[in-house]
Amino acid sequence: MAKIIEQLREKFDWVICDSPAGIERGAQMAMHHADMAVIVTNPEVSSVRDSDRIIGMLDSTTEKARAGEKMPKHLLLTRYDPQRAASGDMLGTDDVLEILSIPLLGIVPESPDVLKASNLGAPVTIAEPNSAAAGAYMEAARRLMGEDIKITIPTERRGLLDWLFKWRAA
Amino acid sequence: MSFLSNLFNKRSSAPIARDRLQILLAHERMSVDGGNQDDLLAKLHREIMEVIKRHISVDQDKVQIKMDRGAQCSVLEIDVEVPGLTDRVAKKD
Repeated sequence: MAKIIEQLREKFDWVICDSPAGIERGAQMAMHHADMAVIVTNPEVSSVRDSDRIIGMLDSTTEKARAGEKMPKHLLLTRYDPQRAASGDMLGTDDVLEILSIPLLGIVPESPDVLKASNLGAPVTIAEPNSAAAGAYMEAARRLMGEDIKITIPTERRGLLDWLFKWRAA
Repeated sequence: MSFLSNLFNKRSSAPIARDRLQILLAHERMSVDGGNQDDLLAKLHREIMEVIKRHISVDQDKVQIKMDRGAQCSVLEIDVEVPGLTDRVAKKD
Protein backbone atom coordinates (compact mmCIF):
# COMPACT_ATOMS: atom_id res chain seq x y z
CA MET A 1 0.00 0.00 0.00
CA ALA A 2 2.77 2.43 0.94
CA LYS A 3 4.53 1.66 -2.35
CA ILE A 4 1.44 2.26 -4.46
CA ILE A 5 0.71 5.53 -2.71
CA GLU A 6 4.28 6.72 -3.21
CA GLN A 7 4.01 6.00 -6.93
CA LEU A 8 0.66 7.76 -7.23
CA ARG A 9 1.92 10.69 -5.21
CA GLU A 10 4.46 11.50 -7.91
CA LYS A 11 1.85 11.59 -10.66
CA PHE A 12 -1.22 13.13 -9.08
CA ASP A 13 -2.07 16.18 -7.01
CA TRP A 14 -4.64 14.32 -4.98
CA VAL A 15 -4.87 10.65 -4.14
CA ILE A 16 -8.17 9.77 -2.51
CA CYS A 17 -8.39 6.55 -0.53
CA ASP A 18 -12.05 5.84 -0.06
CA SER A 19 -12.86 3.53 2.77
CA PRO A 20 -15.78 1.30 3.61
CA ALA A 21 -18.22 2.73 6.15
CA GLY A 22 -17.52 1.87 9.73
CA ILE A 23 -14.37 1.32 11.70
CA GLU A 24 -13.21 -2.03 10.39
CA ARG A 25 -9.93 -2.98 8.85
CA GLY A 26 -10.75 -1.39 5.49
CA ALA A 27 -11.00 2.05 7.02
CA GLN A 28 -7.78 1.56 8.95
CA MET A 29 -5.96 0.49 5.79
CA ALA A 30 -7.24 3.50 3.87
CA MET A 31 -6.20 5.98 6.55
CA HIS A 32 -2.83 4.50 7.37
CA HIS A 33 -0.71 6.51 4.92
CA ALA A 34 -2.95 9.56 4.71
CA ASP A 35 -1.72 13.15 4.82
CA MET A 36 -5.16 14.43 5.72
CA ALA A 37 -8.55 12.96 6.41
CA VAL A 38 -12.09 13.81 5.39
CA ILE A 39 -14.52 12.18 7.77
CA VAL A 40 -17.88 11.65 6.11
CA THR A 41 -20.69 11.28 8.57
CA ASN A 42 -24.49 11.27 8.66
CA PRO A 43 -26.44 13.03 11.37
CA GLU A 44 -27.19 9.68 13.02
CA VAL A 45 -26.08 8.28 16.35
CA SER A 46 -24.30 5.24 14.92
CA SER A 47 -22.51 7.24 12.25
CA VAL A 48 -21.32 9.99 14.60
CA ARG A 49 -20.17 7.36 17.07
CA ASP A 50 -18.07 5.61 14.44
CA SER A 51 -16.67 8.94 13.31
CA ASP A 52 -15.57 9.69 16.84
CA ARG A 53 -13.69 6.39 16.98
CA ILE A 54 -12.16 7.00 13.55
CA ILE A 55 -10.94 10.41 14.73
CA GLY A 56 -9.33 8.66 17.69
CA MET A 57 -7.62 6.19 15.34
CA LEU A 58 -6.46 8.95 12.99
CA ASP A 59 -4.70 10.54 15.94
CA SER A 60 -3.13 7.34 17.20
CA THR A 61 -2.62 4.54 14.68
CA THR A 62 -1.75 6.29 11.40
CA GLU A 63 1.81 6.72 10.17
CA LYS A 64 1.54 10.44 10.54
CA ALA A 65 0.40 10.16 14.15
CA ARG A 66 3.18 7.70 14.94
CA ALA A 67 5.70 10.16 13.54
CA GLY A 68 4.36 12.64 16.06
CA GLU A 69 2.67 14.83 13.47
CA LYS A 70 -0.85 16.14 13.60
CA MET A 71 -3.36 14.76 11.13
CA PRO A 72 -5.51 17.50 9.56
CA LYS A 73 -9.13 16.43 9.71
CA HIS A 74 -12.28 17.73 8.01
CA LEU A 75 -15.88 16.83 8.56
CA LEU A 76 -18.26 16.32 5.66
CA LEU A 77 -21.82 16.01 6.87
CA THR A 78 -23.97 14.15 4.36
CA ARG A 79 -27.63 13.20 4.02
CA TYR A 80 -28.55 16.29 5.95
CA ASP A 81 -32.23 17.18 5.92
CA PRO A 82 -32.65 20.82 6.99
CA GLN A 83 -36.38 20.42 7.52
CA ARG A 84 -36.04 17.48 9.84
CA ALA A 85 -33.21 19.16 11.68
CA ALA A 86 -35.38 22.26 12.12
CA SER A 87 -38.29 20.22 13.42
CA GLY A 88 -35.98 18.54 15.92
CA ASP A 89 -35.98 15.08 14.41
CA MET A 90 -32.41 15.10 13.17
CA LEU A 91 -29.16 16.03 14.85
CA GLY A 92 -28.24 19.55 13.81
CA THR A 93 -24.92 20.66 12.36
CA ASP A 94 -24.04 22.33 15.66
CA ASP A 95 -24.71 19.13 17.58
CA VAL A 96 -22.44 17.06 15.37
CA LEU A 97 -19.70 19.69 15.32
CA GLU A 98 -19.81 20.09 19.06
CA ILE A 99 -19.53 16.37 19.62
CA LEU A 100 -16.76 15.68 17.11
CA SER A 101 -15.00 19.07 17.36
CA ILE A 102 -13.24 19.05 14.00
CA PRO A 103 -13.63 21.74 11.30
CA LEU A 104 -16.57 21.47 8.94
CA LEU A 105 -15.79 20.99 5.25
CA GLY A 106 -19.33 20.99 3.95
CA ILE A 107 -22.93 19.94 4.36
CA VAL A 108 -24.47 17.74 1.68
CA PRO A 109 -28.27 17.71 1.72
CA GLU A 110 -30.24 14.49 1.56
CA SER A 111 -31.21 14.17 -2.07
CA PRO A 112 -32.85 11.55 -4.28
CA ASP A 113 -30.32 12.54 -6.96
CA VAL A 114 -27.58 10.73 -5.07
CA LEU A 115 -29.28 7.37 -5.35
CA LYS A 116 -30.17 8.08 -8.96
CA ALA A 117 -26.53 8.83 -9.77
CA SER A 118 -25.39 5.78 -7.84
CA ASN A 119 -27.80 3.62 -9.85
CA LEU A 120 -26.21 4.98 -13.01
CA GLY A 121 -22.75 4.26 -11.67
CA ALA A 122 -21.64 7.88 -11.73
CA PRO A 123 -20.85 10.43 -9.04
CA VAL A 124 -23.72 12.83 -8.38
CA THR A 125 -21.48 15.71 -9.48
CA ILE A 126 -21.41 14.22 -12.99
CA ALA A 127 -24.80 12.52 -13.28
CA GLU A 128 -26.81 15.34 -11.69
CA PRO A 129 -24.47 18.35 -11.76
CA ASN A 130 -27.23 20.85 -11.08
CA SER A 131 -28.57 19.16 -7.96
CA ALA A 132 -28.10 20.67 -4.51
CA ALA A 133 -26.03 17.65 -3.46
CA ALA A 134 -23.65 18.04 -6.40
CA GLY A 135 -23.21 21.73 -5.63
CA ALA A 136 -22.40 20.94 -2.03
CA TYR A 137 -19.79 18.35 -3.05
CA MET A 138 -18.17 20.73 -5.52
CA GLU A 139 -17.94 23.46 -2.91
CA ALA A 140 -16.53 21.05 -0.35
CA ALA A 141 -13.86 19.98 -2.83
CA ARG A 142 -12.92 23.59 -3.50
CA ARG A 143 -12.70 24.29 0.21
CA LEU A 144 -10.40 21.30 0.59
CA MET A 145 -8.17 22.86 -2.06
CA GLY A 146 -7.95 25.99 0.01
CA GLU A 147 -10.63 28.22 -1.44
CA ASP A 148 -12.54 30.31 1.03
CA ILE A 149 -16.21 29.63 0.37
CA LYS A 150 -18.81 30.28 3.01
CA ILE A 151 -20.58 27.15 4.20
CA THR A 152 -24.31 27.41 3.82
CA ILE A 153 -26.83 24.97 5.15
CA PRO A 154 -28.52 23.84 1.96
CA THR A 155 -32.28 24.07 1.72
CA GLU A 156 -34.39 22.65 -1.02
CA ARG A 157 -36.72 25.13 -2.68
CA ARG A 158 -40.20 24.69 -1.26
CA GLY A 159 -43.49 24.77 -3.10
CA LEU A 160 -46.68 26.22 -1.70
CA LEU A 161 -47.88 22.77 -0.71
CA ASP A 162 -44.74 22.09 1.31
CA TRP A 163 -45.14 25.42 2.95
CA LEU A 164 -48.69 24.64 4.01
CA PHE A 165 -47.59 21.23 5.19
CA LYS A 166 -44.91 22.82 7.32
CA TRP A 167 -47.52 24.88 9.11
CA ARG A 168 -49.49 21.78 9.92
CA ALA A 169 -46.43 19.92 11.15
CA ALA A 170 -45.28 22.81 13.32
CA MET B 1 -55.94 9.20 13.54
CA SER B 2 -52.31 9.23 12.58
CA PHE B 3 -52.87 12.79 11.39
CA LEU B 4 -54.16 13.72 14.85
CA SER B 5 -51.38 12.00 16.69
CA ASN B 6 -48.93 13.82 14.43
CA LEU B 7 -50.50 17.09 15.46
CA PHE B 8 -50.28 16.48 19.16
CA ASN B 9 -47.21 14.37 19.39
CA LYS B 10 -44.44 16.92 19.20
CA ARG B 11 -41.66 15.09 20.97
CA SER B 12 -38.52 15.70 18.99
CA SER B 13 -35.93 12.99 18.82
CA ALA B 14 -32.78 14.98 18.08
CA PRO B 15 -32.13 16.04 21.72
CA ILE B 16 -32.44 12.40 22.74
CA ALA B 17 -29.98 11.40 20.02
CA ARG B 18 -27.56 14.06 21.25
CA ASP B 19 -27.83 12.88 24.85
CA ARG B 20 -27.35 9.27 23.84
CA LEU B 21 -24.26 10.20 21.85
CA GLN B 22 -22.78 12.24 24.64
CA ILE B 23 -23.17 9.45 27.17
CA LEU B 24 -21.89 6.85 24.71
CA LEU B 25 -18.84 8.86 23.68
CA ALA B 26 -18.00 10.00 27.20
CA HIS B 27 -17.84 6.34 28.14
CA GLU B 28 -15.90 5.23 25.08
CA ARG B 29 -13.38 8.06 25.21
CA MET B 30 -12.73 7.34 28.88
CA SER B 31 -12.24 3.64 28.40
CA VAL B 32 -10.24 3.79 25.19
CA ASP B 33 -7.95 6.77 25.25
CA GLY B 34 -7.53 8.05 28.78
CA GLY B 35 -4.10 9.66 28.55
CA ASN B 36 -1.19 7.25 28.41
CA GLN B 37 -3.59 4.37 28.71
CA ASP B 38 -3.48 4.18 24.93
CA ASP B 39 0.09 2.92 24.87
CA LEU B 40 -0.60 0.47 27.63
CA LEU B 41 -3.69 -0.90 25.94
CA ALA B 42 -1.92 -1.19 22.58
CA LYS B 43 0.89 -3.10 24.25
CA LEU B 44 -1.50 -5.35 26.10
CA HIS B 45 -3.42 -5.95 22.90
CA ARG B 46 -0.28 -6.95 21.02
CA GLU B 47 1.01 -9.28 23.67
CA ILE B 48 -2.35 -10.90 24.34
CA MET B 49 -2.72 -11.45 20.59
CA GLU B 50 0.65 -13.18 20.51
CA VAL B 51 -0.38 -15.60 23.25
CA ILE B 52 -3.75 -16.35 21.69
CA LYS B 53 -2.27 -16.82 18.23
CA ARG B 54 -0.07 -19.65 19.53
CA HIS B 55 -3.20 -21.69 20.14
CA ILE B 56 -6.11 -20.32 18.16
CA SER B 57 -6.24 -18.30 14.98
CA VAL B 58 -8.25 -15.16 15.69
CA ASP B 59 -8.68 -11.96 13.79
CA GLN B 60 -6.93 -8.92 15.19
CA ASP B 61 -10.23 -7.04 15.32
CA LYS B 62 -11.87 -9.76 17.35
CA VAL B 63 -9.83 -8.94 20.44
CA GLN B 64 -11.12 -5.91 22.31
CA ILE B 65 -9.40 -4.54 25.36
CA LYS B 66 -10.90 -1.86 27.55
CA MET B 67 -9.86 -0.33 30.79
CA ASP B 68 -12.19 1.49 33.13
CA ARG B 69 -10.50 3.37 35.90
CA GLY B 70 -12.72 4.09 38.88
CA ALA B 71 -12.04 5.58 42.28
CA GLN B 72 -12.63 2.32 44.11
CA CYS B 73 -11.43 -0.20 41.57
CA SER B 74 -10.37 -0.42 37.95
CA VAL B 75 -11.52 -3.03 35.53
CA LEU B 76 -9.51 -4.45 32.66
CA GLU B 77 -11.92 -6.00 30.21
CA ILE B 78 -10.60 -8.38 27.58
CA ASP B 79 -13.10 -9.56 25.03
CA VAL B 80 -11.91 -12.27 22.68
CA GLU B 81 -14.23 -13.50 19.99
CA VAL B 82 -13.19 -17.05 19.19
CA PRO B 83 -14.19 -18.58 15.86
CA GLY B 84 -17.16 -20.97 16.06
CA LEU B 85 -16.65 -24.61 16.96
CA THR B 86 -17.34 -25.72 13.40
CA ASP B 87 -14.60 -23.45 12.03
CA ARG B 88 -12.13 -24.76 14.54
CA VAL B 89 -12.91 -28.40 13.85
CA ALA B 90 -12.71 -27.76 10.13
CA LYS B 91 -9.31 -26.14 10.50
CA LYS B 92 -7.94 -29.00 12.59
CA ASP B 93 -8.82 -31.62 10.00
